[in-house]
Amino acid sequence: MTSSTAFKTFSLANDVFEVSPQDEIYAFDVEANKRINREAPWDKDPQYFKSCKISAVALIKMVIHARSGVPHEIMGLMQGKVMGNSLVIMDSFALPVQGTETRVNAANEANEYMVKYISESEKAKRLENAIGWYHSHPGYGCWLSGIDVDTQMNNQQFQDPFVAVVIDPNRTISAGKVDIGAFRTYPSNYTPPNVSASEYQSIPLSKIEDFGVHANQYYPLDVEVFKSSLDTELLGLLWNKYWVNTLSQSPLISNRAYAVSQIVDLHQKLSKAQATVSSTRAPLPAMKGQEEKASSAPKKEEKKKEDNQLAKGVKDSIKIAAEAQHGLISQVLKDIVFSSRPSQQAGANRVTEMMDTAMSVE
Amino acid sequence: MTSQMDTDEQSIVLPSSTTSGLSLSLHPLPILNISEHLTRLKLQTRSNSPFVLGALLGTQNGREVEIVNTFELATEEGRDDLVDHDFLVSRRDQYKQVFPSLEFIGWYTVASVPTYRHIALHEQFTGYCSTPLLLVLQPSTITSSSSDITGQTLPFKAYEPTVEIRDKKTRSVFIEAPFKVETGEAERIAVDWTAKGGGGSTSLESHLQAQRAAVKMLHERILVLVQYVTDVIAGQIPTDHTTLRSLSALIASLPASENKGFRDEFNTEYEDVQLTALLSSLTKSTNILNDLVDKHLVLIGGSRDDRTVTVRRRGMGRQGMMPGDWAMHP
Repeated sequence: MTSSTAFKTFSLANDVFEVSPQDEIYAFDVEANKRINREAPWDKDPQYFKSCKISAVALIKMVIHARSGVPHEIMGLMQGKVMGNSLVIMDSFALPVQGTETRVNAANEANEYMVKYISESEKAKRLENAIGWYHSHPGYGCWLSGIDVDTQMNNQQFQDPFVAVVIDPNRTISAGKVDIGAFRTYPSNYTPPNVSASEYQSIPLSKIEDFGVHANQYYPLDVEVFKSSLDTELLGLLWNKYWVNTLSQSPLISNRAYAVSQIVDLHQKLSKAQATVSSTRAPLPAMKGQEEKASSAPKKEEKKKEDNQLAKGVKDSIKIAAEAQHGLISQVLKDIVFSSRPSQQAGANRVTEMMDTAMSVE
Repeated sequence: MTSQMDTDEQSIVLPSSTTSGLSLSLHPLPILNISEHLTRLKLQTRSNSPFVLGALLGTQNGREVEIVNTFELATEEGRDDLVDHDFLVSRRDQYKQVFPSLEFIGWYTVASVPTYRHIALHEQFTGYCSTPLLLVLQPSTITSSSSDITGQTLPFKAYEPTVEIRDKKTRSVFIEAPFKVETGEAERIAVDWTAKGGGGSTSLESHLQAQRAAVKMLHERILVLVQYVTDVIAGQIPTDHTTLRSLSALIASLPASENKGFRDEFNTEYEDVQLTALLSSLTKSTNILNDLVDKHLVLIGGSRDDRTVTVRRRGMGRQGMMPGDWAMHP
């Protein structure tokens, strides 16, 4: 018997209660929670919260709910607590309302549901309070619209600490990874000291104005996912079962409508870009050793980042093509594994040609 | 010992020769929900085996049952064996509002094997569902380490309640029901992403790695089958005709499809995707060309006067770079 098994047997036999550090986050300390809510350090610093930690269950529930609601936007609440500079989300639950971008008061209809759910949660030993809300943007990315910003500013005024989470279920499926964002709004009288250039994300033409107008009223938090040691073990074992689904499911087929809408949107953006192409200017190269130019250099850096419309169109097209290539790779692999006869060489050729295309696209 | 103890010692679970006729599918979400419930209660009660109780939600079509979601249940104050029915009803109705297709189909708990206690609890659920299933998480099997993780199964067991008639007495017992794991696509991606710790970018490399892992699993499983057949031929293992029959059925179904219609559609899809790639490359080239033209203008514009520059620019706008260039040379 190795020492590790001996130790585990000892722990089991003597009922030694041990908590791995990974699981500490699941404990809810009532006193600490009351204390931090009294102190409320976020009132003094609008940028107090830097990250948002989401538990595995909360995340999976939100993604499933978001996908089940496509093409409607769905919303729900999250329960959790504050830990240092981070908002920790332990669980989430769905609300029986369908949000649309024009309904500000969707949350009011679900008030009774919310109050009942949260007050009864205590019976099920779920002691955490409501810490945020989530909703979905099917197909148009993770950001806050004008209505969302208003709702969140309201929430932050009366229910702080509160965080807004947005999920895009269509992008999740097409990209093969979860598309999620967590945001906090600034209070209306506050202007952030410096606007850092955020990572570019492709937004459909119909929504791009709404995105641009309000983009400076909120800031994103880093999203991290955490899981318990038991979760990690179970996930390892789960892989033994669902590897089959990894091969059998194909995003090309299940997300066809979304892929088509992306291409249509890109077409519209490129038509618009066509008009502006003739007036593009190249940035002036900075001269070395010229002191007076040093101050204007940072401004030029920002101008360079502000790509012209054609360049943005290029980024979008690369994303679309790359995702389609990934889907195709899975299909061709399956074809070779399951459909080719030993004598056929065509399969291998197809793979090389496809890999070349995939690498040149990205 | 009294006869009461005798009944307790008799197994509540029928021996494995009786199998349930249910075809049961379990999603990863209930598994992770139960794990989180257990971890949370462990920390709250500071013990290694707290009493965990919850409800299963899912769909039931005849003999096909799918367990999709779960929620926690409460027990009456201080008593571990009486379910808080008000809470159950209210939570169940709330979930019905949001997910109308899901029904209450059973309950779950944490134990190594079902006992008399579980029968007593089971009786309380029969009011909500005709045959509430029992899903059990077996904690002891988790801590045992094994070198071959691919051989390990999930520490869950599902049971279907039934009535056993023996010695002219009837009693409720459980039959173990085998289950398989099913996932929806969004669920699979979310589970995969959390398993990898979240974050990370979509890149060709990570996608290929995921595909490779799946194909590797398939390969390992096939090797096991090949090993089995070799052993049977060598006479080392007794032949099991049902297994051999299913193996030959599997091989007969390959190649998966040589149907012309399938081939056509497959090729069309292939061409569509390659077309997208071509368009993307064209767009990229157009952009690069545009940048090149702009930079060229900057270079030229620095050494000539403005008038020539404007004329040159107009020329380029109409005809592209090279012809315009030639036209301007004196």
